Amino acid sequence: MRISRQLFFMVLGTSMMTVAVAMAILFLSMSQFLERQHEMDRTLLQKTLTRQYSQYGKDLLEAIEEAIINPMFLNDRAQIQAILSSFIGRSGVLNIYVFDTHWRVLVDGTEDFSSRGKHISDLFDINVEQLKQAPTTQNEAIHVREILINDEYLLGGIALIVDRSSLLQSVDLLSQNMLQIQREAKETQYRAMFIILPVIFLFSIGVSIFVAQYFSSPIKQVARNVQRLEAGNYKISLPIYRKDEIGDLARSTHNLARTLEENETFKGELISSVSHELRTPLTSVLGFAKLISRDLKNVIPAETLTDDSQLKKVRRIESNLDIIALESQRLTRLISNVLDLSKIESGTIEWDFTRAGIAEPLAVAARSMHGVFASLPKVKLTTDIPEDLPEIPIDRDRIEQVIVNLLSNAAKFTEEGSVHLDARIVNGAMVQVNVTDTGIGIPEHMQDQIFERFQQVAESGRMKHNGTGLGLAICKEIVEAHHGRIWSMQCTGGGSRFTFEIPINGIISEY
Amino acid sequence: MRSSILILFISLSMLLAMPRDSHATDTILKVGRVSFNPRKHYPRVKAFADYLVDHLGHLGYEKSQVVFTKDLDQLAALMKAGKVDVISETVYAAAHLVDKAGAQILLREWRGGQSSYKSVFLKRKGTSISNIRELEGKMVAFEDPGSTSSFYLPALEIAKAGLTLVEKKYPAQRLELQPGEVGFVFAYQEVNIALWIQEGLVDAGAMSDLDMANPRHMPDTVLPHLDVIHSSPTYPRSLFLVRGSLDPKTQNSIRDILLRAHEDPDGLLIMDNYWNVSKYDVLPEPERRIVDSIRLE
Repeated sequence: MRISRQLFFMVLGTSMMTVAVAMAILFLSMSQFLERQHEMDRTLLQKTLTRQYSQYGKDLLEAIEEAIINPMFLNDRAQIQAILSSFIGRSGVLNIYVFDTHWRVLVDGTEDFSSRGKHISDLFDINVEQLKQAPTTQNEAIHVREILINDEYLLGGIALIVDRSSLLQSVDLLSQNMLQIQREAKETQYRAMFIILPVIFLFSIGVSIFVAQYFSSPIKQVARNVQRLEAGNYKISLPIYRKDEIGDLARSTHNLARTLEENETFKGELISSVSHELRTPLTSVLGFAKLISRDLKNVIPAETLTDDSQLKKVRRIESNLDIIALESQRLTRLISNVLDLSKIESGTIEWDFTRAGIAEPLAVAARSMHGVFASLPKVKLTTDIPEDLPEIPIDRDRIEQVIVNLLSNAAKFTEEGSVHLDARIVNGAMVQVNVTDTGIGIPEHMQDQIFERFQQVAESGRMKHNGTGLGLAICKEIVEAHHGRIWSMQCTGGGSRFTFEIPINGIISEY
Repeated sequence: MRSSILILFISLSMLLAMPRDSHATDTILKVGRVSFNPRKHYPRVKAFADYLVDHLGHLGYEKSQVVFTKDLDQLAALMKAGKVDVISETVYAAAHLVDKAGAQILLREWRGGQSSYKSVFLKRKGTSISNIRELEGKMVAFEDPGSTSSFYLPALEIAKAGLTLVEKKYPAQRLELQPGEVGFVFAYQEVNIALWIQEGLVDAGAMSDLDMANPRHMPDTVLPHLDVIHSSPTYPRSLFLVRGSLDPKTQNSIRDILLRAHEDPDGLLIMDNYWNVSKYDVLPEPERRIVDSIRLE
């Protein structure tokens, strides 16, 4: 997965998780807060209403006393009863008792005076002093008051029973209303959250994209340039002016590219210089080796020697001179190949692309190899090059070089059999050239490796020390310079086949 | 109160403004009533008066008039002056009107299905009083000064027993009584009489036997604690009186109308609204004599 996607999903996941956790905490704390608040509201409401009820009871008691005090003086029980009746049933008043000075019921608010004569403690099962503390039961509140004239003359007493269930009902009702309001508030929050969540989600996506781009874009740029470096292209540009680690990476990459470019230039120059310096003495060595060999043959003809030991010495000298010549030639080829490869990779090679028929360079290359194949009596070179191959943009010398390399390779690794060169048009878009041999073949795992520098298939005894390991690498560079491609494959009956294709129009079409 | 005075004023003004021509006066039937609440009572009395006028058309009566007074003396004066033609009253008030205004008792008036009643003297159980004479030096509770069954008739009974009634402001004033005296206080509500007796605030009290049987006036929880020590003779529950100077034909016609009124659904409804009247009948002779005896007292 690309780093930009990794960063995107990482940031998105992190932000969404953070939001989810925050929302969960928020919801939980809000729910707990609302529940606690509801409990507090209910408690406060109950306390407030209880206090107000208590005060209401006291106020009511005072009002009743005020109303009955004259009838009490006049012993007008009927009037007292009428007054009490007017209070009972209103505003939660359940009953009212009026007592004599001994706390016995005089009037109880009922028409039949059913409680007359009963002592207050018999009515409520607790004594007067306790009753004066305004005790409450689940459903009732009792308020008791002495009727005092000028705070000293006791005229009697009043007991008021107020319905407390209505208070509790009121608390319940108000509490339910508050709960309903809180539920609605919570639902509103949920709805708001459902609106906010997509917004947060979209915002997270936006932030994730930004963060991913912010971090991945320069990394991708560095990666692309490193890939170019890997491909040998040191002309890179990294316009990254950040001061963080990514900026450091970009600058280091840029510096690395400069260093590599300098090294490559130095290497090219070195190779060029060394090659030149080597090629000159090698030419002398080769020339002198051939000259000595020829002179030796002229000065000491072999047929003149009768002494076997002398003949062996002369044969050994000739053999040694052949080795010097052979290795000098191989060294010269190696230097040429190194020089070519270096020029190709450094881009300093001069290509000579012209639109020309490919058949001719193929034929020329094949002819140039007749000498080699003539020395291999068990190997036969055959060709099948159609005359009507189209003209394509090619560098003729380089194409010849590719064919010579491939044929040379085939000759090296074929002890017996044939080497066949053919060409044809593929799909009307490509010219395909094949070099097929009956040699030792190429193992499957090395099909790609052999196009790398200094990679060779296990050599047979005959070809030992005779290859540079650069020929196929140069072939690959030349074919790719023609926008083509090259590959090898194992033939069914043994041997191998090297194939390269070059687009007719200079551009590889997908097929 | 203001509305009561206003209606009274209007009524009196109409009376004074009426022409003195006897023929014109005789076309209006004037029904009197003592009331402290004319607003409440007017529709009921007016309906009763209209009912009578509707049936007196053959005698030239065309409309009715309601005359409210604040007390019995004022009513007697108006009746004597010919400004009140008919009235319903209890026995003592009726006797007063007969004496003071020359009214005539026309019919006995049943109220609440009762044709007659009596006053009873009550005491708390467990006390030593056993008859009316033993009320000497005791405190008795009556309802109010205008009550027949709970003041006039019991007072008459005490007088018959040779005792003198002395009004006191508070029940506790019994200690101030002299030999031969019976102290009394007004309780203004029948139920107060019952409760005071039970509490011992007073030694005895008087009310009608009808009130004693009514739980609103005599709570069921109190009655078992009380005993009757004396009962008065039976008196008519109420009487219907006419002005003595009223044309005899009119008197007779009114008698005939009222005697049949309870057979007429409309009449029955109007009578019930009027004074909770259920029926009119001829006053039996024994009760007439009792009424006369009141007048003699």
